[in-house]
Amino acid sequence: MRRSDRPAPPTPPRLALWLLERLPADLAEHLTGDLLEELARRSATQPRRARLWFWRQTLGALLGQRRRASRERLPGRVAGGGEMLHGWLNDLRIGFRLLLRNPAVTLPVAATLAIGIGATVTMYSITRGLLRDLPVERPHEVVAIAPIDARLGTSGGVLVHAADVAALRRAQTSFRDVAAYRRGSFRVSEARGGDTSVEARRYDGAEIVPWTFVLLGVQPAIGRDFVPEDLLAGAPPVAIVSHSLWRELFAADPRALGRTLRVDGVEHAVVGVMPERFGFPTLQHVWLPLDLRQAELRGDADLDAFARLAPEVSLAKANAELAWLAPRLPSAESRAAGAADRLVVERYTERFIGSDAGPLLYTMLAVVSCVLLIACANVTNVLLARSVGRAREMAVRTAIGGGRARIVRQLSSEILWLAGLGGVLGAGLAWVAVDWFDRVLGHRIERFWVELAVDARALWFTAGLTLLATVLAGLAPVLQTLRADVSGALRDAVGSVSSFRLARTTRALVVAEVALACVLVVIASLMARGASWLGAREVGFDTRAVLAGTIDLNEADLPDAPAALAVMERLRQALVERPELGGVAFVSRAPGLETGAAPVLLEGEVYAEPEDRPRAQVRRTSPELFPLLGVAPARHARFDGGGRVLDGRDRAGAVEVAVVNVAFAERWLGGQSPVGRRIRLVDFEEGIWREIVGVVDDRGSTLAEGRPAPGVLVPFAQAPAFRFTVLGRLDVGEEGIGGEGAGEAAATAALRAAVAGVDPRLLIDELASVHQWIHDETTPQRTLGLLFAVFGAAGLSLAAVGVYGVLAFSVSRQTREIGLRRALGAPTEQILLRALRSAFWSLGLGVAIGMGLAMLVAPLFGQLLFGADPRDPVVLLSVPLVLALATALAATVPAARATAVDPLTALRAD
Amino acid sequence: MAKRLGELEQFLLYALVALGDEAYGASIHREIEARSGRSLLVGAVYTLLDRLESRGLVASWVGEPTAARGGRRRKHYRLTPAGARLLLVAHEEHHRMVRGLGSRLARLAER
Repeated sequence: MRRSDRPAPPTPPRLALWLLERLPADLAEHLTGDLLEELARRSATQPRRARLWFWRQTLGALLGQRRRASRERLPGRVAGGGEMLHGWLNDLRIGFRLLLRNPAVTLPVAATLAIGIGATVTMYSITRGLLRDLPVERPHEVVAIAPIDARLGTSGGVLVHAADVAALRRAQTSFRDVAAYRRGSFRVSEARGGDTSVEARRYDGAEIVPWTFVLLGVQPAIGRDFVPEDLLAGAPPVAIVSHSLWRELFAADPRALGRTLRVDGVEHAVVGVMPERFGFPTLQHVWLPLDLRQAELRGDADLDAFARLAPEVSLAKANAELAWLAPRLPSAESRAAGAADRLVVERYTERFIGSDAGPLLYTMLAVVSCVLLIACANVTNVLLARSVGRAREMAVRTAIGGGRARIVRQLSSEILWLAGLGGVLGAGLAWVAVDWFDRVLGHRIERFWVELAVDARALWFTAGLTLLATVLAGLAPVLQTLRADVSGALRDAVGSVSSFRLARTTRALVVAEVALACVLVVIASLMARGASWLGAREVGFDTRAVLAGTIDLNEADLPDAPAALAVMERLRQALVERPELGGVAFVSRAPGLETGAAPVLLEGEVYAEPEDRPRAQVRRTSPELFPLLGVAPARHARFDGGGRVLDGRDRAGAVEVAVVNVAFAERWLGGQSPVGRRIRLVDFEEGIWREIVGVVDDRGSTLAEGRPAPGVLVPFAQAPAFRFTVLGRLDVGEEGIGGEGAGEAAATAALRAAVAGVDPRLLIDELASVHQWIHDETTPQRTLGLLFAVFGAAGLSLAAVGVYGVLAFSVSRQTREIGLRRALGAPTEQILLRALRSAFWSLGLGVAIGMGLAMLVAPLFGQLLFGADPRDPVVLLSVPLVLALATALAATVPAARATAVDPLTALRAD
Repeated sequence: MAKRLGELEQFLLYALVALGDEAYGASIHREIEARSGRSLLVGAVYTLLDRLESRGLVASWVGEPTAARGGRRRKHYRLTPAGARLLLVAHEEHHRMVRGLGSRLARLAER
């Protein structure tokens, strides 16, 4: 009888049950029953250990059974169909024992395979994870529709007019339907009966047209979708929430439907909860219905459009239709003549992951696969060497009538074990690596469909590939031994018959291995070198001594830009008074960080193509930035003495000004002085020509590829903004206030207090040292770089070990020859030189091929090299050097050992 | 005289004595673990029982299927008179052998 409070019986491992079924029928029944009973009993206290116990019992029973069976069957059995299978199992067991007895071979081979498999599976899983499809119906049909910005030549960040979406919806024939959304961030709190004190938090959300989820083919997990009636005048406002927000706000309460959510101050009834892992368009948590007609009437121009292709319509066809439609859309009239923007259709995921990510990731995958190839080459070598060592055994077995099939079977069973062991270890490695990658980067990607986890398909694929490679690698030498003349092998022990052929094969393998290692290591070193520049950004000031935090004045509900400037001024005064801070400044983006290169125009210059326009990192700043970071005019005759920095004169209403950095002058003006010329920041503001009043040094500029990027600074007073970054310098007094951390803590508190003192609604967000900001910004690249550096190191060490192994083996096989030479009086150096010379021939050939390949492949990596030159001499020289060292060592050590041996002993060696 | 019993075989037979009618694979396994503190494979229990059965020292019968075992039947075992005699011989041998030696052995082991 089962008591009602007893937990449900644990589910036994299915595979184990299946295995148990393989036992003789009566034993299977009784034993399985016993094990299940025990499992239930043990699970009550320690479920995990109980499962482990179950497995140990199962495997123990199977092994015991096999042992018993083989004992019983041994005498005088006739082979039948069952015997064939039994023989296989037997061979597997023998193979396993041989491997256990030979750990010196087993462990390196398995580890080598594991590294190869691990690296490939890791890269494959990352690639597949990043390039996943949307979790919607027929995801390949879902496309993004984005205008191409004629000025930028890209579709990044350009939005669509509501009127265009409506017109497009009516006119198009390529799509099943067109939809639109507006991304935003909402202040969300649960409204509990008029109690407004519940603290609101910000969540990313989107306003979506009501047919969005229908078009995607995704329905809420709980509750209902938006319906057209939700948009009627007087209809109660409704919202749909994500699965995770539902858990967070409503503790996953299924009765959450109908509860009220305060979204940006307005109460919305929750009508639906989306399925887990759904966050369309990118990673949103709150959805509100969007009335496209109202948006059209208001003249909204800040939407994103997407669509589902009609059946049998290709991307190209849809693009062709849009090319025709775009100039006829309502917004085309308002645009300047000649600036006819185009609309492009692209795969939805490509828009958010980047269309170049696919080829790039697959190229990386191909390069990482070199590790697997090197591993396979190594394994081949070891097995080849071993098979030669066992030639006599094979010959004896053949001579006394051992079936060749049987011999092949037994050898391949050993190989299967090796591949299996390597596969399991490799899967473990990949799991660790992908998990690490996910923890470091997963949360930064912010694409709901991306899932970084070890890909089961990758695992099978790679395991299969390795198995194939290992079996081929293992069988080739087997077949070779079988072909070999039996009596010759018996008479001659092992050496001379096959040594020539062996030498040729191993030499080819060494060449291939060295070449692959060169490609891999060159790419990896270039990436690592580029990434290391990112990590060590030298921005010209002590980034640890300056704190940066963002403030959003939108939170303070200000009427206009002058009001924002007034708040900034009050903030400045409040902060200046604080003794904990050694200076404050406001800037649109913290120094050293990327702001996005925006196009600018220089007066008097003519640009044929939009791409020809100069680009610069544009920052707004308060005048205090210059003393805070120590930025000064570049006092150089070339720049007319450098002019001046921005100061209190540059207020609203005064002549509009800007300063540029030295990098700007060098890059876009050929080092001439820009002082006095006028510049227009086309993307930034309309129709203002700013006078360049100074050239300042590159301190605090954005670093691109390790060098200061061209930059332009404009005063906040003439270009107000609601969102900005506060910089505060730690006041490092002569004594300090009790260590670095204390100073930072005090400054942090001072900044927060001062901001709250100016307006309690304001919050200083993401407060951290500039050093930390830069570190965070470069994490993805550094992570990729590090990952690749690890792959590269793995590849190089595998190759070095492989080369060592092969050469050491082939040199040691020449022990007899060396002994003979010594006996005939050859000097030691000559023998060593001989060994080295042949080794370096293979090395040289491999390096030549590999370097050639690397030079071909490296430019494909473009931006991933983070600015490292594909022809970087340091990298190109150090790679062959490491391999040469390994080769020298590999050839010298065994040769030296051989020469140290007494010639007579060496002559007797086989 | 029949072949002597091995240590584990003795353990098994003692477990049968202890369990009486309730002796089947899992309970025997549990009994041995509980009494001796040794863990062993259930599969091994069956192997040994098989061997003992072929020597006529134990007898078995198959019980009814139960839910806790996923509808599988139990195989019960009991000691045959021959098994009991042989175990008794072993038991007495053991007793004669260890009589009066326990505390001295413990002292020796302590050093």
